[in-house]
Amino acid sequence: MSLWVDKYRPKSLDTLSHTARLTHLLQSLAVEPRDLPHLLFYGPNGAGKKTRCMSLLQSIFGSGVYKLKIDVRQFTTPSNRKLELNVVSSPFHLELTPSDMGNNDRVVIQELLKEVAQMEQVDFQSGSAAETGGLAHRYKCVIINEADALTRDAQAALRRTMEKYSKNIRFIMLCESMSSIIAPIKSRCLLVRTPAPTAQETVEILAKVAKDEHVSVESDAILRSISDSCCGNLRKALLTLESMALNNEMALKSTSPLIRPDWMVVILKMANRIIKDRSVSQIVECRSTLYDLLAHCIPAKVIIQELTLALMKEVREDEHRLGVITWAGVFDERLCLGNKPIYHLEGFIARVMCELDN
Amino acid sequence: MESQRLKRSLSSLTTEINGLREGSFCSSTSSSIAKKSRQSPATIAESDIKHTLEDKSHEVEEWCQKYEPHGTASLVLHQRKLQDVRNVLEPMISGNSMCRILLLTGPAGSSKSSCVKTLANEAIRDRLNTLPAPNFTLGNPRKHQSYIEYDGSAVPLGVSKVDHFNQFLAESKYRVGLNVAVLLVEDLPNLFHEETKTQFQQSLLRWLYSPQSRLPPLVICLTECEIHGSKDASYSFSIDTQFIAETVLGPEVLNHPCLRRIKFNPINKTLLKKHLKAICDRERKLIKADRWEQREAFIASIAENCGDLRSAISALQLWATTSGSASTFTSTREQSVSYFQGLGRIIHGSKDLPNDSSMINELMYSHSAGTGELLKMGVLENYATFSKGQFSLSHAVSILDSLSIADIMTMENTSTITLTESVEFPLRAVRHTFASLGKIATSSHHRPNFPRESKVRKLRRNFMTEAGRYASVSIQKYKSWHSMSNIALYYSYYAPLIRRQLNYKRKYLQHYLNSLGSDSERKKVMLSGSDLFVVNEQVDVLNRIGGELRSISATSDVVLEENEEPLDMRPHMIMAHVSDRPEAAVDNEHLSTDEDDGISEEILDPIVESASEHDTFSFSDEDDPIYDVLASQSPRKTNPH
Amino acid sequence: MSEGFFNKRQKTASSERPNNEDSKPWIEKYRPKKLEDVTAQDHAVNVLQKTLKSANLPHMLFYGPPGTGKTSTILALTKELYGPELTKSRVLELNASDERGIAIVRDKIKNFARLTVSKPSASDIEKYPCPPYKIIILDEADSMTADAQSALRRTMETFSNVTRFCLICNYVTRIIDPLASRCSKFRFKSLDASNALGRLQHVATQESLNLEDNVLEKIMDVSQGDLRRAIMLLQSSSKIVKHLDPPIVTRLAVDELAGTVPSDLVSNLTSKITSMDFSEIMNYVGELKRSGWSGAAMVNQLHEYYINNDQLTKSFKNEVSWLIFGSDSKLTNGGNEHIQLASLAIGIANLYRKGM
Repeated sequence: MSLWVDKYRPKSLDTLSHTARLTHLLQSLAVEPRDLPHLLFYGPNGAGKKTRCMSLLQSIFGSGVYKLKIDVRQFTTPSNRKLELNVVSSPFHLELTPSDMGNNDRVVIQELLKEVAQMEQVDFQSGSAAETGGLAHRYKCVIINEADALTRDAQAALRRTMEKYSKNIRFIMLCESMSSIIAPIKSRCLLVRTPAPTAQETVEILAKVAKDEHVSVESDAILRSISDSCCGNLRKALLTLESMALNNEMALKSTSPLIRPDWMVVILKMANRIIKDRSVSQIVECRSTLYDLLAHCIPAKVIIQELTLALMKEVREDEHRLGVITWAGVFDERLCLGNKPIYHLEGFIARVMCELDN
Repeated sequence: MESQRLKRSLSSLTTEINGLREGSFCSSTSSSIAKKSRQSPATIAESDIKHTLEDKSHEVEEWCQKYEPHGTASLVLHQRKLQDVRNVLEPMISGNSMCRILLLTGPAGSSKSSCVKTLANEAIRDRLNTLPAPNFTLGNPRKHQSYIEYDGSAVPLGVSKVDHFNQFLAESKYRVGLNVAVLLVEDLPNLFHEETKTQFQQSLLRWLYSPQSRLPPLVICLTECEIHGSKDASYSFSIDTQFIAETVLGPEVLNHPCLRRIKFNPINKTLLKKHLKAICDRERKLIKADRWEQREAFIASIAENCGDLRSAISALQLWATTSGSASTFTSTREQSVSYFQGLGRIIHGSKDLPNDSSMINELMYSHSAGTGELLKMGVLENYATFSKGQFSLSHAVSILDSLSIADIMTMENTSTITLTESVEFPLRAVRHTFASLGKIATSSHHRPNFPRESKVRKLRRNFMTEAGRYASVSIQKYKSWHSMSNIALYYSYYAPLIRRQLNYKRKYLQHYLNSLGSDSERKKVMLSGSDLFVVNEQVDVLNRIGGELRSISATSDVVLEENEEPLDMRPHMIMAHVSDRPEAAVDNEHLSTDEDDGISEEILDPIVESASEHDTFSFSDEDDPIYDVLASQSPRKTNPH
Repeated sequence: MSEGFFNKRQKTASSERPNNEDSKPWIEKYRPKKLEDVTAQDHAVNVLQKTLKSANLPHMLFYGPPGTGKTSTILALTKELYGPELTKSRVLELNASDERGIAIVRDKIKNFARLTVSKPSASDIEKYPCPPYKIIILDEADSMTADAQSALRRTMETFSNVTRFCLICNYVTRIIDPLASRCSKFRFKSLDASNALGRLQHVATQESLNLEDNVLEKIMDVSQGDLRRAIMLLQSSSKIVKHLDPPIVTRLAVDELAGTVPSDLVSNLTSKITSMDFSEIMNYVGELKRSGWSGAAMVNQLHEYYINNDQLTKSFKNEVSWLIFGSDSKLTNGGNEHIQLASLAIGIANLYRKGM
């Protein structure tokens, strides 16, 4: 069976679990599907942006939106490089993830959208009304995952496309941070804030899943500690729950050890090492760890964020904390501007050690 | 752009000479023609450099041709090296050697081809003189052509260069026995073209494996160089950045037992000076008086920063026969500084150069932005080796900060173009930091580590492939789509963990199922465990995507790494010891590359530095190419099974 | 190729367009139809009114902040000059960010500029001035490349007998000098609250909306003088509340839609900052991120709070401004919101700690 996180993922607006306010909003949008504006969901990872967006589509198009398929598409970049991209689509929507496209996202987006617009024309002629169950919405949805990773170039192109194809295409963009999205796009979209579930909501959801899966839970305390360790990331919480349940013969005791992702553990340990042993040789050791994390495709931005948060928890003195967070801000920016994350990550670690020495 | 500015080659010097010459003789010998003229059967003069100065054409003649050696005695080459070559070449000529290809590698102007030509002349002359010549059709043995040069520029239209080369080999195949001639290949086909390179290597292999019992000695002179100015910042050793034997010929040719390799070094300073002085003495008449006075100083300055005989002579000629400010000529073709040399200089400073500023200047000249990127990575990887990491954190901070700042110095909107400033700045900053630390009395420099970046990239690719497999299983089997970033952060760890557990349970259940008797009981169990039977070892991803994180238990792992390193280093150690015998080194390398070709092992491989501190051999120029190759191979465990 | 395709799509789209005003964006629906309807740009409007009478138009350059009526003005002007029918053949509007290259200037613009003017129909001549030239409107001209702008310079001179240009941009400094000097420049002021509010009120009454108290002020506040943004906000908030019971546009809904952070959350954060407890600040920032609030908006609102707070000393404001300036630039460069916001908050708290 698929993972619990997928198995218990709500598939329609009625079954959405937390943040009722948002569910009402989406329901009101679904009442007049013809008028669906472009949407921009923003909120932390694992808060249910994608789930909500798919539920909305389901309420508009029917469960056909879950009939996913992957196509491999080929694109040629202006520099004549061939690019292969996996495109996930259903008969009613298609998904794009800019990080798969690298710096060529503008070309890919334009090519794909042009294609979509053309396909739509064919659909009109063949009379798609029957397929959609009488609701002939004459547009196709394009979901852009991680929209904050789009280059400025691509965003500018998108801005035009949004107007030009507004009859044929609706955009639903998902992002964690709105700050890198240009104002014209923001102003053309309906902004939908998607908060993570509160600790209480998380515990409730976990308890429900545990019950359905016949996992005996000694007390809510263990669920609460899962929820705490996940900071509202429901995806992580459910994955943790499932792996812990299997590890403990489907019986969670309050003392069962938490299972965190290995890379998180690595970062936490690294934070401890940085605090305890401040030396050049420790920097060199940290470099090995950093390289290992990078080799596992853990984004450098995630590394620096988790490392900073871990350091802020461990460091006691205010002066030191100020140093850590200030330099984290500096090196976080450099990560965005530079090419090789390792310089900045190691630079950050050295700075932190230096600050702690003072 | 940089390389254009820097690579003042022989030909440009030649044209300068001809242009600046006061008498302005109309020079008809352009360098390319000059080069071909060398092909004519060499006349063997009794005494070598004695030329009649009355010769009319001497004024337009280039000195480096004029003083081309005509006997082994006049070769500007270390005697031992000469003997090395002789020891290999002579048995080859007489047909008493297993060796079929002699490979001479080294920088430009290190007398590789001159050495072969003179040796061939002497050996073949001796041979013909001592043997009673039964076949008179050969005519005068002195007219016998002792070497044949492959001329790549004379390719007829429509014939590919490699075909032409093959034709050359086929035609000269029978130059054995009395008719023996040395086949000299200097001019190689366009090896930057991948296909041509493969074909070229193939034809060499055919030669090496040829069933013919006797073949004429084939000598390949390979001028090795680092190639600058490649457009993309490439950190890997490939033919695009490193035109060296390893990249040109490939391991199969290079490691063939019938190939001998002899490495040439830049010409020794003393030898070079001596030779230049001798030329000056002979050209006394042409040299202007004021120049004559300064000749010692000029020669010394040439010899100091140039190991290239040909360009040194050209520079001397240009300087001696033209008027103009002397200073403009003192810089000859800059010697390129290799990666390891450069690193050593940045971190430990250089004794040869007056100050750090000029050292960096030179380094910047000989590096394009692309290789500069490699240098920066190298600095990151190696700064901690300075006095074994025993310096204060604030110094480390200033080094890392400069590297970090340099990384964000890119042109606006064009993140791909590397600015030279982004290389120069960190190098200067790092040198400054270390200079302020003062010289540490550790004379033995550690062997610099090679950046791990390319290895990490390989692992990332590997991760992406595995993650792609996971994603396609998940959408096809479980109908759920996970984005790459979520796979990297969560599913890559949790999903295999969960499925592994399920799989274990399934096996257990299966076992139990088989022990059951009745069908109804089986059905009940099947029904209750329906979730488990979905898991399939063949289809599902059951291992941590991208391999386990090695540093989970960081402290113990470091110990592990150290345990592994001596093992890992073994080939390096052996090699360093035998590096004075290049042939052996090449053989050894063959071993070390053959041992571990499994990709799967590499996945589990921890990312360790390419060299450990155990390796304390001071590196000399001679070792460099081997090290280069070794360093380009990621360190691997010697087979654990 | 793509060009042709786009044109075709546009045509089909327009022919299919159902003739209901409902789905039409309000910014189009309530765009001023006449010059005199343009809000609060008296200076520009007066000058243009005069040119209407004399029917002699110079090349024009409109500049000013977004949403101040630049495009509306020129569109209204062309309507008054040519009337609805003739406008189609006489006016070329280019506002594409992706149609910026020099090739477009060479081909599309030049070809249009070169055309001789068509003869207006008799009825049009009666109603409208119909001057004997065409108008090319280049919206977002500041995003044109410099060489495209230089190419335009020639075109402007050569065809000035039959064509007038109107360049519209936000930043006049990004227009190359030779081009700017050929145009009469019109600066569009940022709208003052009363004018814009009146316009917004007009829209609200026309659409018969139920409004909470001070919602319009809130909208104006959030959209910072950008009337387009304000009207769009009004439309989307009305759309959202449409199916609620009762359908009242609330301030909270406006906040939510504009992506701004409610003021009570801002004041919570500022009080945590004043308390100088770094752990508390970290927790609260984590909480904010968890609820998905935009860090960039938070930084903006912190800026407003600190700058408008009269209890603070000048030097303190100065220091805070520097910190906010840094954070904002880092965020724009793609910085992590959580880290940057935490860094800013702790930085400000540190200012308090130092006793400034």
